[in-house]
Amino acid sequence: MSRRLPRALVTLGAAVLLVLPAPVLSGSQAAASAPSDPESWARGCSAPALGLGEDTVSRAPVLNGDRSPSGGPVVNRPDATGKWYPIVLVHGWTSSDTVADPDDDTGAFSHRIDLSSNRIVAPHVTRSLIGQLQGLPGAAVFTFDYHPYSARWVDDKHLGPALGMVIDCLYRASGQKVVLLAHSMGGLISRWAATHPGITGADRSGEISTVVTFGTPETGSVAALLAAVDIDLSAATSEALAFIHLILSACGRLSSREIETGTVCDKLPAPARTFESDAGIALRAGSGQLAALLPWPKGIFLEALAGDTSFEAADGMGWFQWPSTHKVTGAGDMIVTSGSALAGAGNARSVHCDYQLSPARGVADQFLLRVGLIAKSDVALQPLGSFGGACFHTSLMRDIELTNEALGAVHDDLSSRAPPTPAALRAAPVPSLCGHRPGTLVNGTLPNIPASQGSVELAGSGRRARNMYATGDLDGDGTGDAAAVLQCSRGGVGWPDWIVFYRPGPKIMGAFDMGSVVGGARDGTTRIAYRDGKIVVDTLDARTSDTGCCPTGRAVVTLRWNGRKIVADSVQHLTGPTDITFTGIGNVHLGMSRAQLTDLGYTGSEGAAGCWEFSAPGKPYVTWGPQVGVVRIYPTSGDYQTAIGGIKANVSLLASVDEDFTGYPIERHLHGDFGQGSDGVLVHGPGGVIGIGVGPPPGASADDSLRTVTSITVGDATHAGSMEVGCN
Amino acid sequence: MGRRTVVLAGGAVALAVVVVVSVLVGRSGGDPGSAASPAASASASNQPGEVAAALRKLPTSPETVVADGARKQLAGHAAQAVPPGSRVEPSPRSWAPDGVGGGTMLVTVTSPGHRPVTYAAVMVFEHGGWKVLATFPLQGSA
Repeated sequence: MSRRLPRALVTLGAAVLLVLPAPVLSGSQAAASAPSDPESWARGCSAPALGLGEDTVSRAPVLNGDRSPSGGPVVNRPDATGKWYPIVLVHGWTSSDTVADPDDDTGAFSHRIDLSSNRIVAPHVTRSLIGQLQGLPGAAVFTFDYHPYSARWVDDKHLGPALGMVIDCLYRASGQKVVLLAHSMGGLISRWAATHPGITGADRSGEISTVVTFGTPETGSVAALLAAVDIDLSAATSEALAFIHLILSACGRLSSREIETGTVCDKLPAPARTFESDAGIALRAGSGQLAALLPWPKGIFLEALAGDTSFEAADGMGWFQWPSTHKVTGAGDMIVTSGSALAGAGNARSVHCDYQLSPARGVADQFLLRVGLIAKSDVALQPLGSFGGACFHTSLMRDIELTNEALGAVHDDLSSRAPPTPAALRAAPVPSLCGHRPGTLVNGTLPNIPASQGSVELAGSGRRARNMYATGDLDGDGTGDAAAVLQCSRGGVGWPDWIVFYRPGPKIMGAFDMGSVVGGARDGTTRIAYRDGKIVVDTLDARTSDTGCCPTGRAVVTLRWNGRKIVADSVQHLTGPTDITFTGIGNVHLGMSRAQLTDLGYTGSEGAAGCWEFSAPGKPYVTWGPQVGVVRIYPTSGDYQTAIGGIKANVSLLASVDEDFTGYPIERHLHGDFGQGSDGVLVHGPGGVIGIGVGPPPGASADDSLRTVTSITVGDATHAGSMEVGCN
Repeated sequence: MGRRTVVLAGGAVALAVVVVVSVLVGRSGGDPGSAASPAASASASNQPGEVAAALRKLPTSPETVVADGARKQLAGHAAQAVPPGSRVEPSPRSWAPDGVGGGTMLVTVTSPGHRPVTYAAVMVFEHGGWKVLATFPLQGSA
């Protein structure tokens, strides 16, 4: 039997479209290779995988009927950093929310948003709440469906505990806190899960960030209460209860099958069977089961949404000839009062609907009660085929005002996890750098600093700017942070760079002076990158012999937030092609084979005493023996320097060698005994020896420390100096 | 089968629209007891008769059929609400259980010197009997 009402939609005048913080749906479809893929979460957190019986956990597909504001399909994609965030929808009592296929719009959250309680606004949203959520970058929308167990109370293993397991699983899989959107009793199931231990603590506030509830009977359901023998009238006025009785009675003659077919009754749970179930009894205001539920954890943001309906009897109401009132309020959404739905919320919003109610005789059958409702607003409250109106219990997720609130709450949550963007950092606060006052950047530069006094600015421009910015969770709070390179000066040459960590906002987390680990390497940062909660900085590295302008080394510095400040987790000083170490020069090392030398471009010829001499363009000379490999390496120009101390031929003094190699054994041959009548020292280190030839003391001085370094070689213990030693 | 109508009236200023939605017409011959709550101790099949019997007490002892929820508002004026000598004609066929322990029944009351008025009486089962919580005069009958 069809009981559908005529369907019509009237939009009058210049209707204002209240279409939300509509997300900008541009960009490509989600990258399948995202490091953390919601499809893999869906597999790992499915009901069979978690042993949840006939519950269903699935990722909601993009619905074919949902269109983006531009008219195209809704694009569900990760956020700008490639991340996804789990959002779980939990349906209400006697409902379901599984989306069987992309054409299925029968779920609690998959109906088109087509209702409004606003007097001057006609809804013009082209998608469901699921579609709205999927339009948010990074939103991975899942449904938790417990409808085979709807009649049970929320502490049943297939309800609250099962949802808790799903939350644990998604949190573990994604590394992200879960957002819950719940209707009616789904909110109480969410509350049970939120208030019981998960994998992060005594409750799940460590795994859940935001909960949005639609018409959740936090303190009980009036309609369920009506089924009780002793009615607690404090839960609602007797007039409101009378209105609810009146409407329910009109529904009471309809069979449960008929109730599904599009009257006000399909906005109400099937009456006695459900109200007398475990859940129905527990849902009565003041029930022991409700009292036993713990309050929402403080660490979870709760946004509660409610319908609030007022009725006016066209010919008054009363007790026969004794009149009482024409209008009553407090009927809530007909199932749950707004007071119950909004109890305990951090943020609350209700929509209000006024109806004029006109009981009359049935037209065809004079024995029947016919209830007419007139929307009191100035424009149609809803497409007329859906009688229920925006404020009725099961219509709340179709109301544009409430779904706007829900979407805003989720958007705020997800965006709070997103790291500051490069554009945002160009207007970010900066701490005191190079002695300048803290301030806020304007277009990347700290304003109001006279040119003669230097500057503070973001490093890099154009393509290079991308290397001066990195994002990731730097403080372990689950939200995205950013790191940026700042340069500063006091009017002269630039000072060493600063690395500044930013939280969303952007807000300063901390700042690190690179000069503390790479000396005076000015403007030295070449790249920063996020890795495993840390920032890895590729930077130039100032050697002791470098002049202020020109750092010649390179280093990799790993920075991390220790909870109070940024610290250098490691500093790796790298060697370059002209760096002389105890084991080699650049990429040429002692002990290398002839084949390895050939790979590096070397060619060689046999010399004296079994030694071969090898050379290659731009590379140091090499002495090699067939039995011992490379035994000595020596520079071809004055550009080479020791990695330790930056000792250079014809530049450094023996005094510098003594100072820079403090702690290493230094074998002195300063009396013509360094080989071939020359003078020098051998510095012994791990894996080899650096031989440093020196000239005579200057003038008449007898101070050996003033002797100038004339040559530097690397060799094994017998070949480092100038001694003629064979290679056999 | 019931009949529903939808009327939309759009005003010139695009703001005055009244939506009239008529809904919910139960059919005669339905099972009135199918949605009864255990709260109602009376047999579901006897409910129409029991409710009608309660309503017939109105002319003689109206205070006995006042629901708790109506007492404060009525403030002891039950006899004025249904003056002595009134004729009360309940319609058992119109009984419509609400599924949560109550229901509505159409009842026509003719008070001395007045025209008949038909009400939808909202009935609840309290303290072992059926009581009237509130009444709504039917459109056009007052």
